[in-house]
Amino acid sequence: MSIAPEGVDPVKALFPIFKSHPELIYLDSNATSQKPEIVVEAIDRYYRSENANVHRGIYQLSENATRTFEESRIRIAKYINAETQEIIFTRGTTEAINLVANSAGQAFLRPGDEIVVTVAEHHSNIVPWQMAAERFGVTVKYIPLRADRRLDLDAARTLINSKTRIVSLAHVSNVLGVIHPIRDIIKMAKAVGALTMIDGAQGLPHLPVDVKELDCDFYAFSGHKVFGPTGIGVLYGRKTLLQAMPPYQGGGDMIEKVTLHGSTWNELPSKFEAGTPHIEGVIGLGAAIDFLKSMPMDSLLNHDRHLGTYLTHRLKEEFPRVQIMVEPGDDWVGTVTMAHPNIHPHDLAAVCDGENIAIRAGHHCAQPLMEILGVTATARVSPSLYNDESDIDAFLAALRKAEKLFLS
Amino acid sequence: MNEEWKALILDHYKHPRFYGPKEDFAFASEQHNRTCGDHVKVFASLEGKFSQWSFVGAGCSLCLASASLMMELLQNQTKDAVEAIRDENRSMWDGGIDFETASRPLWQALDGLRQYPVRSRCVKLAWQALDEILVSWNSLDISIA
Ligand SMILES: Cc1ncc(COP(=O)(O)O)c(C=O)c1O
Repeated sequence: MSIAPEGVDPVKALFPIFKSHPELIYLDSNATSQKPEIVVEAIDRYYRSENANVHRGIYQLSENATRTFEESRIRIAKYINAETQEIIFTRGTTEAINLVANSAGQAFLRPGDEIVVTVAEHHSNIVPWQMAAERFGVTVKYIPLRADRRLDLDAARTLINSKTRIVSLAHVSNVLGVIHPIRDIIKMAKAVGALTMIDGAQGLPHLPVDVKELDCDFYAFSGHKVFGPTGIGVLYGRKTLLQAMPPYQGGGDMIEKVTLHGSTWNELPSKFEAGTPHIEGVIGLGAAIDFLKSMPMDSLLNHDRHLGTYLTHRLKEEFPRVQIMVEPGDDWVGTVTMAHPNIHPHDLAAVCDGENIAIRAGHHCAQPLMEILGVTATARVSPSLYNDESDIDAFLAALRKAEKLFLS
Repeated sequence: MNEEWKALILDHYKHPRFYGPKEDFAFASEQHNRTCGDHVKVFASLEGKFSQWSFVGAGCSLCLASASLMMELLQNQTKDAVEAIRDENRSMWDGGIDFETASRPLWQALDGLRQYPVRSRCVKLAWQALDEILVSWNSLDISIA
């Protein structure tokens, strides 16, 4: 059985979860990835021997913690080609988008402006903009999909116009696994002077990211989807913009001076990091970025795409009833989302669970997209580097079992 | 879930009891589970003190089997009996029922589900409809009294 293309080792051994659950077949990496040993170790080491608050103590332990913490920031900045001050730690992609919707909204949105997103967004890239629309008196417009479920760039060209202030879209769709043509969209936005925000939650796990080359204004991602811890994420923001934006939350760390009459803000990035940060999260994320760096990204992408293609082909051959939401392509990371006319996705996921296979069932936090796909819920298989063809075979066997159970 | 109960769920899913809309209903309630789009509509009509029930809906096996099993329990019951069944169902979710000795197959069949909070919502959908119907039934009785 083929495992990974050249350059990627058989990697299950690097992930402690598979030692605790050797039988586990984990096919839900778009929801969250499993964590490699080096990430678990970094967090463990921090609590066992490095724990102290950061940016505060005038003692060795705190200074060391601060150094490890800030070194993570430097490594993350380098990895996506940003300046260190442009890396803001957040709880995840969701908080990063909310930060931009609020602070950039306050700084740059005027009544009558338009925000453009796509219909294929995760709720976290829709709801904060709808809230901003209420708050700032602006409107949200949606770029539609073509019949092949790729973004309709012609429609985008008219939707993105002189009224547009912010364009925000996913690098990669969490439901369809389609890599959006963000370079084209960013160009369209630049041409009309709009700001661009890229939701990279599913981008960073599959693609190399260079924010300067992309020329986007904001890029967000979540640690837990790139082999790092939960509760930590990153907002990259162009320095000049971050400087012009008001803080998102108030508290410790983010201030320069506080008096009873008012306060002044700290420098970047502290201005946007109120309170004691998620220290072990940042340290764990630093380790996760080291892990990513050790993986040749193109073979990672090829690996996941290969497994998704393999699954798609076998579904078509052996399960003609199954409706598959997108065709594989070069603009695709291997996510396979499907609907079975006779088996509810919950039931399929439950049968899979009985075989120790983890898949996702539901609307995947993308209800508008589900409506467009004409389904209420779907089942999703999202492979990652610790999967191989035998995992896909096991899923297909579970699907056959479910058919037997529900169709007989 | 053991095999016997799995078979019961599948049977009710494939052959739902008292399935179909009612024209002459006294009460009806429709419930949606937004996480998966499942929906169930429960109808109740009255003949004196006694109630007749039916439902329609679309959903996973647990959602529809739960509704179907609920129908069997409620059929021809008085309001007091319906309320007692509803209360028993509630206490099942609160952990107040010993499944080993539970008298109703539904409770037993659903044992083990409490550890799957996402799926417990599937099971509860029809019961939420019942809650709503009982509110209307009670207020109807008050206005008559
Ligand atoms: C495309 C996309 N955007 C945003 C998010 C939200 O990420 P988080 O919940 O980590 O904030 C997700 C998570 O599923 C996602 O897939």
